Amino acid sequence: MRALLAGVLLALPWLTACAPQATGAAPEVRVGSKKFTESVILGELVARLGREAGARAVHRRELGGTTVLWEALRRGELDVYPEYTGTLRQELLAGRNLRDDAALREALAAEGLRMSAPLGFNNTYALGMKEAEAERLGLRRISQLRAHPELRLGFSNEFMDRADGWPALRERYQLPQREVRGLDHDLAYRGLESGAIQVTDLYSTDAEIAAYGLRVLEDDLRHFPAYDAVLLYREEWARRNEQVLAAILRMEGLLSEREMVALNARARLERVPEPQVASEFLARELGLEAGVRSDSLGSRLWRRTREHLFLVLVSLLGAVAVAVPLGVLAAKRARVGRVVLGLAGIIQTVPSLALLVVMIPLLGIGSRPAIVALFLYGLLPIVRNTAAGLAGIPGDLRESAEALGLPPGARLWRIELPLASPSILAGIQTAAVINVGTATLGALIGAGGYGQPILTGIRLDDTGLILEGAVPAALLALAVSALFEGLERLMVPRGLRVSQGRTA
Amino acid sequence: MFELEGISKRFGATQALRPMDLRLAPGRTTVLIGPSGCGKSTLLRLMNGLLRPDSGRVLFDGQPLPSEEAAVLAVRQRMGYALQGGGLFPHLTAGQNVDLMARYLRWPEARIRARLEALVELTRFPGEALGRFPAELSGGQRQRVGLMRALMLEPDVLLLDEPLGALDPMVRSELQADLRAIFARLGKTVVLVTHDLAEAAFLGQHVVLLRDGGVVQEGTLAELEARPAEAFVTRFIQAQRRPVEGSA
Ligand SMILES: Nc1ncnc2c1ncn2[C@@H]1O[C@H](COP(=O)(O)OP(=O)(O)O)[C@@H](O)[C@H]1O
Ligand SMILES: [Mg+2]
Repeated sequence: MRALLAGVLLALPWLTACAPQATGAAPEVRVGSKKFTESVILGELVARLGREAGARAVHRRELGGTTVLWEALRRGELDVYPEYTGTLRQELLAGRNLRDDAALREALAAEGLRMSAPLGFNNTYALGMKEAEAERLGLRRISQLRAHPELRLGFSNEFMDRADGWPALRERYQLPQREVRGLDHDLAYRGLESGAIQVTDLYSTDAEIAAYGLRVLEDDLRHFPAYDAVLLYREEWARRNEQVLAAILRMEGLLSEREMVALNARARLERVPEPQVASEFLARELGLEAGVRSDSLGSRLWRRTREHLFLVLVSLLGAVAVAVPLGVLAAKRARVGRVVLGLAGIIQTVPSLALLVVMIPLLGIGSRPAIVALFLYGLLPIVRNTAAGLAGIPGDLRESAEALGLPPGARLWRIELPLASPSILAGIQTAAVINVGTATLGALIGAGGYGQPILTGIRLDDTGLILEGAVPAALLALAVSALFEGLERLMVPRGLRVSQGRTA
Repeated sequence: MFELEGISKRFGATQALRPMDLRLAPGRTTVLIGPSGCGKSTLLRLMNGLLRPDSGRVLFDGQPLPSEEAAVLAVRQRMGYALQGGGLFPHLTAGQNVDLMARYLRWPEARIRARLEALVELTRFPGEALGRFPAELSGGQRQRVGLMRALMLEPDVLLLDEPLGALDPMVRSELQADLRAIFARLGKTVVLVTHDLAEAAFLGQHVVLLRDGGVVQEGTLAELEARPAEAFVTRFIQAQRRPVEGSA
């Protein structure tokens, strides 16, 4: 047991060196993005412009959810991220009844935040039709649908249910269509293609608009709330980095809906990596040199392996340091034991994603909250196996140790822990393997690791990318298992492994 | 050496020992005998403080057993204790089992080695087997290791709980002979638990016969046979003499 601790302690400085580092004096911009393609492209644009202005730019991409980014920005863990005015109004600052952008700016200022001018496109709900079909019927605006009660409509289930979705839209425009069905969003595009439906809901910058040749009908009565894309940034960062900010704000008004649809299509449908999509765009629009640092597969894997190992090892080390003593306590004091095991069991039942998200208000984003969550997950198997290993020591051995006159501390170190070591080691092994798997979720809160390509792969529906994360994660789990088999050989006293065969 | 005054012990609903007085003289081998479950092991554990009596007190060498844990541990180092099956630690070699306490007490290496040599010779244990783990030893050898471990710190008394219980007859009789020689050579106070009358007669001078947590009679075996205190004494002796009973 001590050998293991010593080994991990020795490895620690090397590991911490691999962890994301704090920076020196150079201007810096930390960019975040949500876990959908458009946001990642915008984040990439910001990062590139920041770099162009001489800043060290870090892009924490694909963070899990709007509140994660919002909280991270308010806590000063991010400097900039792309957001939508509608999201600010309807979700983040809901209930404040912020009528216009000026009111919104004021509310943000109270939080120490600022908002850029709109980037130029409005990513909101919209209705779309095949271009040819719309042309044939002469349709450009939603109000014109009134004259065509025979049209077959198909909406995503979400749009059918939302308060500001189909029911409100029909009311507002007095739409007469009877044939309206709810279906899966992806099926809707195929339905348009086959002619099964003629009109569907979409987001106004969906990549599919370009791919399927759709016409977006104008919301002429302004029914849908505006979701103008803007950049949200911290006042305090902006004051210290005026030049960087000025460079980044060149994005204001730069992206039309048509442009954004094209960029989304390039990334989502043509599978061009977002950094390259961003770089092409900036080269075209602003004449910036189109240099994309693209990592080789090897260096990507190595970086993610380091990030992943860092999460797993630090959390595991912490779990061992806390759980083994807790297990000893649980074995010695029945009542404490029940409480400890009960608590650890409850933690285990919290879904990993929920646990990660709960950590964010406390610890922000990045590897820290991920490590704490993994640490908590590691506790139960180790506590349980330590307690079980100690409880399983035969009574006559316990009695022998006591009868010899060994004090409790010496009994624990010299007799009980060595006898329980196979069980304790098995518990640590279980925790380690669980952590290797669970750590892939860390990518959702910016902790990196093998989860990053899995996340991107899911978003882009790219099996190759998913495998780029899933295969190493599986291999690492196997390697960890094998490592523990080896450790068992080293650490479990030989006398516990020899067979009982040589008895006369 | 031991004086038990009015001691009794109960485990939940089981009255393991009824209140009793017992004096064990120094330098003599006393055998506790009686049917299984009559309280022999409990009595032994009260003597070395592994158990606390519900009533009465235990005097060792004229002093009551101390109540604080640390002091009892010190007293226990003066009492060698071996139990059925040896209670050897499977993760330690035979040698490590024997010198565990001496090393804990930081005896000098030379003293440990000298003591080990003396014990190997005394118990006729094959010295080269000291490096083996308990799982690699025969039953008789394990018993000898248990005995060496009990004797390592040169204790004043030796408490043995059915030391030969699990052995086959050949090994058992060989060890009985060795034990008798060892007891004679050491001249120490020995308290030995057995349920085998022949073994009791062979190894001990003084026999204490127990039944249902109480002393039925004590004395030499000859006295018990000649003047049984109650019918149970005769029945117990005769049952043991029946050949079918063997070495159970
Ligand atoms: N730790 C214990 N808990 C409960 N009952 C016990 C315990 N130790 C002994 N007993 C009971 O006390 C009685 C005497 O046991 P013991 O002294 O081991 O008998 P012996 O050694 O003579 O076979 C038995 O009925 C046994 O079941
Ligand atoms: Mg017994």
